[in-house]
Amino acid sequence: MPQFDFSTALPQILWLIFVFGALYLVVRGLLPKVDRVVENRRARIAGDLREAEAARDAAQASVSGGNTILAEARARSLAVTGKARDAANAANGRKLAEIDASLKAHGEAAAASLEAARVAALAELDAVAGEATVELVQRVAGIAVSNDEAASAVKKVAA
Amino acid sequence: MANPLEQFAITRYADLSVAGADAAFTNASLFMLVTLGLILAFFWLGTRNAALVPGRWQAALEGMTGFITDMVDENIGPKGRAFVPFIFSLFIFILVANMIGLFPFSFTVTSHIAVTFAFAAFIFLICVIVGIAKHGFHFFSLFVPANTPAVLLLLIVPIELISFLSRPLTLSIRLFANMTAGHILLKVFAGFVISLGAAGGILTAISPLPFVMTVAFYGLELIVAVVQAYVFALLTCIYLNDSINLHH
Repeated sequence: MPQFDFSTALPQILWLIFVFGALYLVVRGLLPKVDRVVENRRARIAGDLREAEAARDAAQASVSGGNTILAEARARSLAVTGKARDAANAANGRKLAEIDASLKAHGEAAAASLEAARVAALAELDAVAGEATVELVQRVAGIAVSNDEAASAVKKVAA
Repeated sequence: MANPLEQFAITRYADLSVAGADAAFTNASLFMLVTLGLILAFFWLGTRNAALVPGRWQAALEGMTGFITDMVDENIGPKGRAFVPFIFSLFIFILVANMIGLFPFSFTVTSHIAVTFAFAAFIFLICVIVGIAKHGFHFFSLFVPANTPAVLLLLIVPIELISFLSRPLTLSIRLFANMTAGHILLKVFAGFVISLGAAGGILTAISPLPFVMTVAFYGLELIVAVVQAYVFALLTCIYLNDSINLHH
């Protein structure tokens, strides 16, 4: 086996020292450069993530701020409409009461004049009945009675 | 049939020497340079347009460095960060060398015990040096598990010592043997396709069978190439963890 011909070992080892030594020196210079690029990328990604998180937090804060403003506005508008409704209700009630009062006054006045007219009409009815009685007695019995006698008789019958 | 061991032969292209030592440029050296070249091309593509949103090559490179960094963090902890470049270099070198070895007519750098043992011995040395530098003489408490009865220590300390000393062997032989065995298997079955096909008659008719086997083994070898690179890096992490944090 050529591997066990040790006369070729020394040149191989010397060349290996030369070639591997050169490779080692190159790698020593290269690795920090590669590491720096990788490190930069990691830092960049971490920074971007931090920024994104901050932006998200800010957005969330402004959303919750907007919600508070909305809630306040809603409460204020509810208060304003409530007040307006109460005022309108009160005004309506007053107006209704006024109308009720005036309607009642009119009704009472009308009832009073109706009662007066009824009384007057009843009074007239007695007189008319008395006159009719005088006429009736004259025609039927041929007796002349005075108006007053007829009126009192009518009253007695009607009572 | 071609010799299945031929693929592991070292061919000298040019004689070189460094301070008197033989440093010949061979096919092993060539494929180490190819491995290095492909890795550097990958690095170049992966860092060319470093962007916030990564492209394909950048994502692949970042995924790989992240994978190794996580593995070190998990197995060693924050003190292991200094070893990330070393473990990443190990992982990507072994991974790419294993992958290149799967191309026909290529050479597998990691199929040679010289290479894998050089890695393992170096890792062993680092573990010992880091352990002694961090903990001094206390490092040797690694061989004395806590709460062990004194009688058992007579047995356990030698076992722990042997298992510690055999680490470079197991680490190097695991990678070397996996690569060598897989490549021999592929070569043998691929050789069957040719020799059966040339034999004529009924033998020619069954020659597609070893071809099917070769395809199946090829898939298996792809997994082995990745898994062995991962195992090598993971074991390095675990050994370093023993040296850095001492507790088992």
